[in-house]
Amino acid sequence: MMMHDNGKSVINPYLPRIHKVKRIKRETHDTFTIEISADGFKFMPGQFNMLYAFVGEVPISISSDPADGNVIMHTVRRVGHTTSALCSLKAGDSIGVRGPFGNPWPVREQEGNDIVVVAGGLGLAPLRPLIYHLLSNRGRYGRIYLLYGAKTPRDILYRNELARWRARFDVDVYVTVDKADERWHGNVGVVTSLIPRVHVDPLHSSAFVCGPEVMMRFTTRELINLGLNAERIFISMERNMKCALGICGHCQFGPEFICKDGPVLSYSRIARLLSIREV
Amino acid sequence: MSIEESIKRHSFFRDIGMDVSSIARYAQHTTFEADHFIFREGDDADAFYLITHGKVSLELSTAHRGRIIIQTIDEDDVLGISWLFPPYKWHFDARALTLTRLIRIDAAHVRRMCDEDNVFGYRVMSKLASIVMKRLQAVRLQLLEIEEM
Repeated sequence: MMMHDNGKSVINPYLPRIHKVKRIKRETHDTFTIEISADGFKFMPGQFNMLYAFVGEVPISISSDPADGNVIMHTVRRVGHTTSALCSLKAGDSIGVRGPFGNPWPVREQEGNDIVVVAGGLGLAPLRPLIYHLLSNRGRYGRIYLLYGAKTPRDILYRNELARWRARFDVDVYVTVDKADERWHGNVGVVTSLIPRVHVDPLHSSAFVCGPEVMMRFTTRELINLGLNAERIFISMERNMKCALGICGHCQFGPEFICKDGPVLSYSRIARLLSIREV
Repeated sequence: MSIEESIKRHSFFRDIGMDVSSIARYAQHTTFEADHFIFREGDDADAFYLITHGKVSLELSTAHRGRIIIQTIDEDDVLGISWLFPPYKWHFDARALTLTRLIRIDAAHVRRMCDEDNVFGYRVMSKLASIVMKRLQAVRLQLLEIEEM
């Protein structure tokens, strides 16, 4: 469907484009990755799509490699009607996609810097395209750290990739969980407990953080204690995006519309808002 | 490397600005293989440990859920706080998760040093208070289940 804007035909941004589901991969007991045909779809790390499973529409970050022209992935946790419908899709089913929307992680601007990526829970999903980008362009960045915290060992996402990234000698990967039993031989503690392992040049370092808001608040505090500049700490915010075009106001966060001005924002831009309870 | 040198290089004593030779006389290197307990809940807290290599889990044994890992600590961390406070008993089990090398320091000696030299005592307490604060904050965040999205 086409709309008209000052006499020019434009694609209706409210109309989902239909893609075919290629595969559904179970990541954890409640989280699935939906792989859909790319069909020429291009995006940048950190952007999100509105996914429509014919029972409602939800904003979901894109979790695949932006350089992969064949497939787009979205990692979805089953929490409600729409996400349950998405997780129940089968290969060959149709899915509606609007996007990509939002500001991406500013990867080019951070070239030459050491990089700290901090993910909490499902927050690893919007960071995965960033990690693919960093590793594909490894020579353009200094040291790279990935710190990932999950609730329990069974909640760890992308286990194979974490193992693969850890096996490289040019990226430091640390994983921790909040709770574990004796069968777990890794770290136990919150993700901020991993930050003392980061040895970067604070003047030439950037951080990318995604996770629950409380986790991001404490993580940014620790990163600033480490000497990082708040302007080079980027966080991905989550709000109840509806139109994804900065019109409806559902995702308003102070003066920012998360769907349009975010989801990626520099910490310096929103630090004050994060501490205001009413926002 | 002498034990005194190892103590000086550990983060706990690195910037304490005090002579550690007296501590070194009451310290010894010790090694635990993976899965071996360094101490058990209820044992006398008669020492504290500087981890120089490896990883240690602090655990609670429960009847219904088996062993629950509360926290893991690593190289350059300090293991043990209960030696500071009566009744000087460990509150958790400490188990080596990998081969772990530690420096074991006699607790009664350090408490005596703290009593006799208030400047030393203040610096040791400040260091330990900072560790306790960080662990308390971490536990609070764990209670909030901050990784849950």
